[in-house]
Amino acid sequence: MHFTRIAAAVSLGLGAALLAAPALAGPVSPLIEGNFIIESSDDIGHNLCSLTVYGSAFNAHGDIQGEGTGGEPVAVVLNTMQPTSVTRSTDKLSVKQSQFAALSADFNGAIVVSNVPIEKCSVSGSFTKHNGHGAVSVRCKGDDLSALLSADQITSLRTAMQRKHVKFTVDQANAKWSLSTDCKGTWFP
Amino acid sequence: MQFLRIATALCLVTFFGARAQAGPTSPLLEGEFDFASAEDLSHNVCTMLVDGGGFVADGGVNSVDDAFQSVSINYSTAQPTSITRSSDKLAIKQSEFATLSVTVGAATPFTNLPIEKCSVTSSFSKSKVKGSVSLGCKGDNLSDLLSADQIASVQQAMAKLKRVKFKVSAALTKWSLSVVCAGELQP
Repeated sequence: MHFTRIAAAVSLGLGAALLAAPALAGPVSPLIEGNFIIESSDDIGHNLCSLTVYGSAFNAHGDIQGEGTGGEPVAVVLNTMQPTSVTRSTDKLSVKQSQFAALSADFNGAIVVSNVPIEKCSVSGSFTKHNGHGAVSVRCKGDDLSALLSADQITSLRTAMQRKHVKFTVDQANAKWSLSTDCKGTWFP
Repeated sequence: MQFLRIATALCLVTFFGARAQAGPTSPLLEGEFDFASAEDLSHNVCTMLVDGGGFVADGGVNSVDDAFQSVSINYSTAQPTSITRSSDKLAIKQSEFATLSVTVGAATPFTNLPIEKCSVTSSFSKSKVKGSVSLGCKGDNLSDLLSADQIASVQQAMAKLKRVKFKVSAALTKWSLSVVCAGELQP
């Protein structure tokens, strides 16, 4: 999980350095730029999200962390690998992917699912700079969870996702599933 | 323009790279889409690029002044302000602060300069195999950016292109530039 965040920060920094470089002294664009990390105010440390814009690259992601059946850390990240709509101004940023958002999951530090596009999966994020408020919501469902996770992992995930603003359901056959998360709070720079 | 595209690609590969696991394949539009204005052909070209979470629309016009000195203007959405993407369509727009680069002969008076009143609008339809990128800019300070000779060269060169309009006030300060690059997808 930390890897995801660090990798994003490093690569976005690189991207910013590469993309920036307006040569001549001239007007500076006031359009919003940066990585805005938000923490759900009533589930601190477990329900994080971020919106990122550097130059022409956009991303929103939600990141839920909990403890599995054996107390092991379990994390799920949903990511706009391919945003379907974006708006940006000097004060506001919104990034949305209405389908095929990407799912990642790790159990006890081991990445089990890495950026798998889920057809019926949307991630929608917004941020307002002047008040520092932001939110990212995730709505996903699918028919084939057992193709991605083992029965033990699914059990562990159910335990770990029993958190405020997170709903994770799976049918008895460990096939049909749904996940919704809401992360809403204030940017911590 | 080339630099921007390469830089974008590098950054996006690093950022959004790890599409590791086998899973359903997203049909959402991805790729680089090149067009040339039907009237000006290789003198008026444009591109839309979508790679994961990265989006760029850019273009360039080139011609020669009356002394056959080459003149080129490149533009880009360094900071897009709105984007929509589906499996068939892509639209990228920057409503202000699009960037311009100008080359006159061997000189490059400025590169990737954000211009406040400068917009780039673009769209592409995969099913129709057509796309367009349009530029509209104006400003008050051209003489801060280009010499009088360079302004004259740009005026002469741009007058030779059908889908380009470049106007400058007599005082060489107020200016406007519009470019339309629309055509079929280039192979």
